[in-house]
Amino acid sequence: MKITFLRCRPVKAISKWLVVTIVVIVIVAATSVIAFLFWQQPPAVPKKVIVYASLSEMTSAEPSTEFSNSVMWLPLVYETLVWYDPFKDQFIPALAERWESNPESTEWTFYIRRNAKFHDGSPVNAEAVAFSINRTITLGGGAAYIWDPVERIEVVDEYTVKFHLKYPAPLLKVAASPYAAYIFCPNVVKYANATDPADPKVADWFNKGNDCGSGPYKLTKWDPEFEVVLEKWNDWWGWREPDYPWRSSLDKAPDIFILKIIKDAATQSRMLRAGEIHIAEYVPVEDVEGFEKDPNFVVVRKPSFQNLLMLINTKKPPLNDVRVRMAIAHAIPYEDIVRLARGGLARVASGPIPYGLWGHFDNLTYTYDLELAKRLLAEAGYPTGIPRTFTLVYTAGDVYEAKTSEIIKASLAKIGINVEIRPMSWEEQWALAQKGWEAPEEVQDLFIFYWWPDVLSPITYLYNMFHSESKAFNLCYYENSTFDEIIMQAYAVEGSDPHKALELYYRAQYMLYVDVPAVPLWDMLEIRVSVARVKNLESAVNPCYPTVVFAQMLIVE
Amino acid sequence: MPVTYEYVIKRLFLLVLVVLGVLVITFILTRVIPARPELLWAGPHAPLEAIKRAREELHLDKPIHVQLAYYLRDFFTGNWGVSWRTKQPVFQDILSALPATLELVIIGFAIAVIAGIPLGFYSALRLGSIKDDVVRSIAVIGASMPIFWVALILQLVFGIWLKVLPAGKRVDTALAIVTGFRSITGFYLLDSLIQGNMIVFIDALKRLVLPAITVSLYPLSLTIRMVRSLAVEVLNENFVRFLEVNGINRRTLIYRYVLRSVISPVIASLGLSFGYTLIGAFMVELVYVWPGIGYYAGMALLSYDYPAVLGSIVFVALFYSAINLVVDLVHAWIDPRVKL
Repeated sequence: MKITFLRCRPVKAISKWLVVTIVVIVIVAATSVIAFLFWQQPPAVPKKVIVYASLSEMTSAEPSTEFSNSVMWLPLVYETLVWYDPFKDQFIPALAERWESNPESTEWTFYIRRNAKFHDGSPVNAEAVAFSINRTITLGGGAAYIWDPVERIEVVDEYTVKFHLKYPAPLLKVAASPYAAYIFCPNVVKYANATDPADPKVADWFNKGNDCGSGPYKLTKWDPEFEVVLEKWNDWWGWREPDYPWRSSLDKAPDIFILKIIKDAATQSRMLRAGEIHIAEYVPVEDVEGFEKDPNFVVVRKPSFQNLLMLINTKKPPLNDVRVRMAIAHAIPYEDIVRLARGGLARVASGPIPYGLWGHFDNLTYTYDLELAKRLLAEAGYPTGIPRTFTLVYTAGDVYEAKTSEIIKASLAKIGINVEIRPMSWEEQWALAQKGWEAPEEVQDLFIFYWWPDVLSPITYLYNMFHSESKAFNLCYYENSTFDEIIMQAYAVEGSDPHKALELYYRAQYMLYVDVPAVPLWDMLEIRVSVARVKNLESAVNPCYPTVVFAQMLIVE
Repeated sequence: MPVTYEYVIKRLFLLVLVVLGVLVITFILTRVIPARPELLWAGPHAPLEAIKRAREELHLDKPIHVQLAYYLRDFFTGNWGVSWRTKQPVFQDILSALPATLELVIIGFAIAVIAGIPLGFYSALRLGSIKDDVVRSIAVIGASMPIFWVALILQLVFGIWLKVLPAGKRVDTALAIVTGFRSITGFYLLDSLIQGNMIVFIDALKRLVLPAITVSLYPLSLTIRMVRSLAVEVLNENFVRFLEVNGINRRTLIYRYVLRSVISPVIASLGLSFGYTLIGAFMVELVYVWPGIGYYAGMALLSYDYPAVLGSIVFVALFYSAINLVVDLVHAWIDPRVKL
């Protein structure tokens, strides 16, 4: 009696719960039924899968204009005419079997390989090469300027293509560039429903994750923020070519190569230890030693063509006095910086051309000599030091730049130069520095700066940072017409007379050594850490193609 | 039925206002911060003309209110801009990242509810005992430990040292490719079940364990504490005593009467804690390389990709307000005492 009375209210409420319960049961039941109906044990096909962690998200999938992080996978899917091996100073044939130029290096002929095909089955021929490079030039985005010397491209016959140049240039190095030098099939216009190659629809087609390259891997998943999946293409000509050096072999190379975007070095390190990734692009410098001692991992160190310099504002007093700049150059403890700021993973720079690149010379390092520095300052009229505080800017968030800046500050204090360190976002830093061309007094004094190559030639360092026309990156505001002339002349003869070019490049670098518009600090050593079952990583990494691991050269056990 | 259409419309109107406010404030914040997005757009080492062209393309050469007008116009037509890093449409990016986050948060919440309610009762029925103290300590520790730290520690211990559970990622991409797994709904557990792909299902489930436990910690502690204190309160109410003296079975008493009084405020507060849990999930995603909205927004922030940041924040605001509305409505529906 009592209980019935008390129950009469809850009954209505329970029906709501009943509804919820029934809904849940129905969902579960439906899912189980569907699962049962579609039940199929997936086939277990063993595949060699390698996951490579990238520190940056991919930018675009557009082979003509891409000038950023996607270079990490573009050279696996697309091929250039030639590749460049900087350590042997040797060009490796890619789509071009052989090549020649006239003595003035104004005409370059490439003979295209006859057995190469694009991923859609269409043949790689002279027409396709001319099509690709012409599209890149017409679009004019990214690094397209590297083709500036080209006047026109002539299709001589089915497999011969000839580049006519406006002025002499080492076109082979241009053709081997990691940017803007990829060949793709002319069918892309058709696939994209576009009217002509420069139609934005073609770029859209690429950026939807389609590819039409001729390389050993095909793009199968394009998720630029999270992961990019490449699958091995068995019909690549290189697998069948006997003794081709730019590969391991069809059965040893990874079947699936995944670029996983992990934007943090510490996370990469943890994921590597957890076995979730197999190659890390970047682990914290402090972790490198631990990986080296562990037999389960392999650490590969290679020179990278990225270097760090300190650009000096040559227009702002007292830095417009070369003796003050020279004093600074001699007051920097280069060895300490490499050891403390970079954990030893760098080389003391010798000139603005990094170690390992053709055009680098070993005798352009400033000595660390505080007495000499003080003497130079005294000669310049500052026996007790500089009365003004210098502003040094670096990119906030970069620990190496931060530590380097601290050491420079401490060391310059010893010769009476006070430095205020200002970390800024790269955008702010660059925007500030841009004002220096009009008002050098209002901007920074010292600028910590990285450079890496677009064209595989010393010219990229010398022109961009020191040529008076290069307003965007000559943030030393250095103007020297003799220097400008020498480097342009060197570049022009690089292809035809490398000895002469080398001599001119040396003269140019010596000029910089004497004028001190910038102090080269260190040339970076690149570190890749992989699990031990991935072999041959050493050869698969090439500083000309930064961040790329040429997966076709790996051996996976 | 206390829920009226009038009320719902009023709330929807407020929701639009809130989202607009968030949008405008975030927009202004992202434009005021000194950054040079055109450099990001044009790519590194870009020539000056390319940078100038980029400024025009992004409307950065116009005053800020004009930029806002452009953004609003596009926003309401479903065009949330394209990411400055990857040039992919932001809205689609967010939608495709959403299931990952939802899967994580839903499983985390499920853990919190399934474990939290019994633990709260367990504690309430053993008031003052050592067992009660233990449960309460769990609740306090769970609520007060920084979530990213817990994520790191769990990952380190179980994923890296003991290697009993995967330390990150949603699914082993290789496994997914080899078994022909395709994403249909974006919820991997569901997708793998639909396809009858048990290999991927088990992999995805294993990968959920650590991040979901981390995400569940905050709502779990909240549930335990709420259930415990409410249950203690209800157990002391006169009607409970009345039932007890009438000799009602203790089990019936707890399940039918006490639980019912407790559950509704718990659901309400859990719903409101959703926003906080979502933020927690963001950090968990970054540690576990979990490709959800948090990971997306985090990476966008690190590279000054403002359309992506803006899109993520507005989306979360929208989502959060919508969840609150739904929670209020459900609450009113379940508990007739609630007046809207």
